[in-house]
Amino acid sequence: MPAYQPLTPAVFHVLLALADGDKHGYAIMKSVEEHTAGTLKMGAGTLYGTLQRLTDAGWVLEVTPPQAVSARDERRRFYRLTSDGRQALGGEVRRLEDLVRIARRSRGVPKAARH
Amino acid sequence: MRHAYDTLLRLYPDAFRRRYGVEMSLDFADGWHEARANGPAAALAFATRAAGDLAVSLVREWTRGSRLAIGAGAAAVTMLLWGVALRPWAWKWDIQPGPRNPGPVADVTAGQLLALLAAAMIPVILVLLFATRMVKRRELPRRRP
Repeated sequence: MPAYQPLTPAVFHVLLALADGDKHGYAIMKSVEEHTAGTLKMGAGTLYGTLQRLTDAGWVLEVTPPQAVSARDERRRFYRLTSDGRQALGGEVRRLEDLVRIARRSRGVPKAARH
Repeated sequence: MRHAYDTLLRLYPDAFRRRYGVEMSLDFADGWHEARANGPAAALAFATRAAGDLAVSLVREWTRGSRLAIGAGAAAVTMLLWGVALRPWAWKWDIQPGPRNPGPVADVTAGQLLALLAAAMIPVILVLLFATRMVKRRELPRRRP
């Protein structure tokens, strides 16, 4: 597994939202809001700018909408995580786990944060 | 409100607007509808957040791919302004090219010189900000071998 440089929060949360399955933009926004318990509310400009970069990088791809969608959602594009994107997400999760493990070993970190 | 948002979407670069404009408009309409159902405070918070996101993402999309050119341009302007600001002192320090002409030293006041120096700092700060962003906030990580 190759090592990656840190992902930005926007990239990380979009990849995480798509890890559950194909979604359109609004569903990604709602998923991010849900994952972060409402602390991160991503705007449309930030979301689609991020999706554009991820699509260009081959981490996300646009797919045709599933057949059972509402007439309104038919106008929306659906996005899917590619294997490269999934690999990058996994790499970031491992990187974050390593950081947390190091921090928990440190005596300077308050006890309450170590568990 | 949606019409106002749709109008503002025209400020994005053409390619970005053609690719995502319809979806952004639909998302805004859904978000606005939901926020209004939660009361005036939620609607105000949504509108404020949408305005902030629009402003930040507009700058990001317009400067995408041209950050290096903007940095180079700002560096060139910095050099020019510093040159103008220090020009009178070149005569004083006797490092001027061509025949000596002590006139300009008396023509520039300390206030004018300070203003020029302050103006010259703006591009310097801009360059530093860009450099910091490039290092700290790389949009997509590069794979290390």
